[in-house]
Amino acid sequence: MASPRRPYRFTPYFFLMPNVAIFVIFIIAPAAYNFFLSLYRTSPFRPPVFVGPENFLYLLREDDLFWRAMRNILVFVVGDVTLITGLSVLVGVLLNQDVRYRGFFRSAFFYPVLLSPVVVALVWQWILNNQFGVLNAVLQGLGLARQPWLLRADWAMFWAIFVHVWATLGFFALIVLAGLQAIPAALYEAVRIDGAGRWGAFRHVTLPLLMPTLMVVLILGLIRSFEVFDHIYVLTGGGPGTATLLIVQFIYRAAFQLDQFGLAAAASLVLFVVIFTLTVAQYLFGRWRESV
Amino acid sequence: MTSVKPAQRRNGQVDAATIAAYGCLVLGTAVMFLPVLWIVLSSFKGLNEIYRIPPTFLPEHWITTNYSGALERFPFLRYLTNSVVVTLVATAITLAINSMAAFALSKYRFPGRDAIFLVILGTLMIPLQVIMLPVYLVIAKLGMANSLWGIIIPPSATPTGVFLLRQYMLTIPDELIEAARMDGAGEFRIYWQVVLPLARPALAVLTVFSIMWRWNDFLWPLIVINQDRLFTLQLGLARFRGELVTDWHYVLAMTVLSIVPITLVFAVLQRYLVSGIATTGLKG
Repeated sequence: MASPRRPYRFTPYFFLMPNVAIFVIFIIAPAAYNFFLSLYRTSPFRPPVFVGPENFLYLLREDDLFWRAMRNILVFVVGDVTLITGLSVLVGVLLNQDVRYRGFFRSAFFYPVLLSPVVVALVWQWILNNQFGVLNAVLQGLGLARQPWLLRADWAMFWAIFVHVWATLGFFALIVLAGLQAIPAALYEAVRIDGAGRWGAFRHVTLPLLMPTLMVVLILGLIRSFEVFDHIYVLTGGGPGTATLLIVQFIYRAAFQLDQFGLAAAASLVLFVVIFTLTVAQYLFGRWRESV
Repeated sequence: MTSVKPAQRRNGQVDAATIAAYGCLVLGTAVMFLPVLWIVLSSFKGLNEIYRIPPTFLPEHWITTNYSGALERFPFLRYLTNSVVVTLVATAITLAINSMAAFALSKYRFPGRDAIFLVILGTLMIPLQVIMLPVYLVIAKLGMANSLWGIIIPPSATPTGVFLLRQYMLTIPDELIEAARMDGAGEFRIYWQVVLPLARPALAVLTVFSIMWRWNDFLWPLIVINQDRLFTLQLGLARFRGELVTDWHYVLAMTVLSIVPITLVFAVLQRYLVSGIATTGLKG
């Protein structure tokens, strides 16, 4: 910025300092520290010992729980992201219709997004409660068998996915809705003149033009799915047994419950690689979209 | 007449599809809304009514003793105070330091600007989940473990906030700043009295998100705090997870109380939240 006086050579650095200092102390330095931690064997009683890749080898070769967590997170991510992508399009299209009470419907679908993960988990725990839950009461009323929803491995995973989708769908539907509203009305007019019905318009206008938005939904959904912790930790605690123990809970457990700092750091790096890759994919996709 | 007919037929078609749309919307609304309604209703029922099978939908007798009992038996107000303090202080800090950084990045030209901006954006790739152990070790070294400052400070410099505000401030014409400078305004005054007021819409979006992030935050407080008297609402509520809970009537009442403030915030500031998500994909 050209200006007659230059008393502010250091001004921008002054304005940046608090924010950057926090970044450095609480994000960048810890990230580097994490990398070193992953190369050490730690114990609460002895000084850390450098062991190179031992933690990673242990995770990959011997740690059954790590593999369990990896398998769980893959099942969770696939179910979660498939449902979110599909349903967010459905809900987005529905909320984009010219219906009465549209504002109310939009708020209703969005409302769960506001709730804290803890509240979401408690709400569903109350509904799914084995003895007193309303869902089992309804099943019983219909003459069907009660189910131990959160006490059986397969059901617990199902509900873990369902509850997370329930809690985050409104967020993704809103992104889709914004994408839909950006499609020019003239295009619909054009295909209507060409004789296309509703389905034709959806296939030939909506879907292709919505693709970039769907890519965003997909990648954001993947990132958030891999990072999930709160909802499931409160809903199932990772159980029954380790049936819904996901990767972040594995790290939490190793770091704060078992004092296995080296292992926790190594597992963190595995998660970091996944999230890094997805973020880079998102960035590259954004660049590509701008260039097209 | 002839010109009316096609319109009528089209109306007829619209009706069939509209009914289907309404059907889906009502069903979806039920799935999204009923669970919350259910705990609100349950929270006004007596202990033997909430455990009754088959359950009642509306309370037989509307009672409020669950609420008064919960307030007596659990340090709910303490949790609430902690949550309010964390949310307000953290949001104030976030707004202040993020807007200062955004101001520097959008309104000055200086060596290292683009590199700093890239690094800030790059921290998006390092969510708390990936560095929770080392951040906790740093916090512990600084003596902030088991303190509200430990919850407040580390997540207060948000890359999304800096990005959002910077993008918005880029649209503020530089001429305004030049004019203020000609009039003899200092740099801090330009930031405070020229740029910040003009950036109000973006600040409002960040405010709403920060309130939501902090009010609902769970993992980071869970790591930092292990003393009951420092629990936030979310930590206090999460103590009651699991199948073995017997005090469900209190848990329900406290859960309902905890969603009242965020619901009010939503009712007042919904449009900022919606525009924030729609335009930037900010985390909800």
